Amino acid sequence: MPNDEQQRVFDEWLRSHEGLFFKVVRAYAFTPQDQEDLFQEIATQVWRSIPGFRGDAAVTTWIYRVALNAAITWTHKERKHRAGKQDLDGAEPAILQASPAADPRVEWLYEQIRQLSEIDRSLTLLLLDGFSYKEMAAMLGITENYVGVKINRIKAYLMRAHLTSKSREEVRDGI
Amino acid sequence: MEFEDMKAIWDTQNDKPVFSMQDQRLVVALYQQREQSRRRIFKQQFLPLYVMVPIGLAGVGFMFFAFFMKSLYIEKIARDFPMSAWDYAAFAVAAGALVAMVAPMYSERKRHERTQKVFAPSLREELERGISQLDFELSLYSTPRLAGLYGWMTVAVLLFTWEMGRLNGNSTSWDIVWMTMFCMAAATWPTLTAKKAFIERVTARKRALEAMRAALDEDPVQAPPYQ
Repeated sequence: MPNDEQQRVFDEWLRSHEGLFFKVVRAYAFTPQDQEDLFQEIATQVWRSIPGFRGDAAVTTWIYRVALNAAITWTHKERKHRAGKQDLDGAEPAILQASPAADPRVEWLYEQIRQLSEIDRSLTLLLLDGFSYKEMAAMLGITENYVGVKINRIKAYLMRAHLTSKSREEVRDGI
Repeated sequence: MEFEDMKAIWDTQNDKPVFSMQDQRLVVALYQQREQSRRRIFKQQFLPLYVMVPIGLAGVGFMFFAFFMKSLYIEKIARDFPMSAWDYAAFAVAAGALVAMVAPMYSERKRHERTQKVFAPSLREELERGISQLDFELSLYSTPRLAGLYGWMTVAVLLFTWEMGRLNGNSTSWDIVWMTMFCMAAATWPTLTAKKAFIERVTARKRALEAMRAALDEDPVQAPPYQ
């Protein structure tokens, strides 16, 4: 694939799916430096994946798959290596915190997602973004039944976490 | 709150993303990463293959030429001895040792590259690819491989230096042999000391990936629930 064409596809994907990139970054990286590093890592992997895209899957599915694989393998890279890469890149970040304050309910959801294992985090993101069990199974390389069991456990966990935080709020408010 | 409500909350960030992207900065960062990757490939593949090998071949070719010239002419114009059949045999063994050292390095890297080119379609395959990459890195530092490499290199360097000595008129240049062996040992030592730390680091990364792959196979019913 010519470089110009790859760049054009990349720009298009980035523009139309930037929210997806941000979701994965927020679920897997917690400090601004790590978020920046993971964002660049995902962007690089998506760029590299473009020649391999044959249109068998939807673009969203493809990008999600690449982004999650990149994020999960990124979490297991040595921190020293990541820090070294950061130093080379310079000071100005590629992503900035937007000025409006984040919705606290969304923040709460991310907090709960971060408590999960890396694989369960992937499943949760895919579930919340409306992917089917079949798509999730294909992305992770596991069976649909397995996905079903995992999803039930994750949903139960989220419900329990919600009840816990709700009762904490009630205690704090003196109810 | 039901799960559907959580999904609705989740979807609100589609309209109001928390980050904003700096296009220009990203372009620069990606360019830097590609440059880094290009430099790494140049250093690891291009430089050894296209620079060191021609230099080595030129050196070996020059030496062969010197052998040939000395056999034919030099004994007629100086008090020297011609190169014997044994010298040619030693030269051939040294050149063969070099080939035996370089050829497996080249072929194993090519073989490994072929397995790494496919873009992994699922997390499981991505993890397996990562594990095989780390296995490859570990295999580069395996004791039999290093012993073979240094063995062939020692044979090649010793025979070449011995024959260089003979080309220069020293029929038995033992002092050069000892000096060469000392230099070889000095060059080998840093590799051996770095080996342990490298293996520990790579093994830790491999264990992490294996644990992740095992997590894909774990029985979710048996796994303890999240608290």
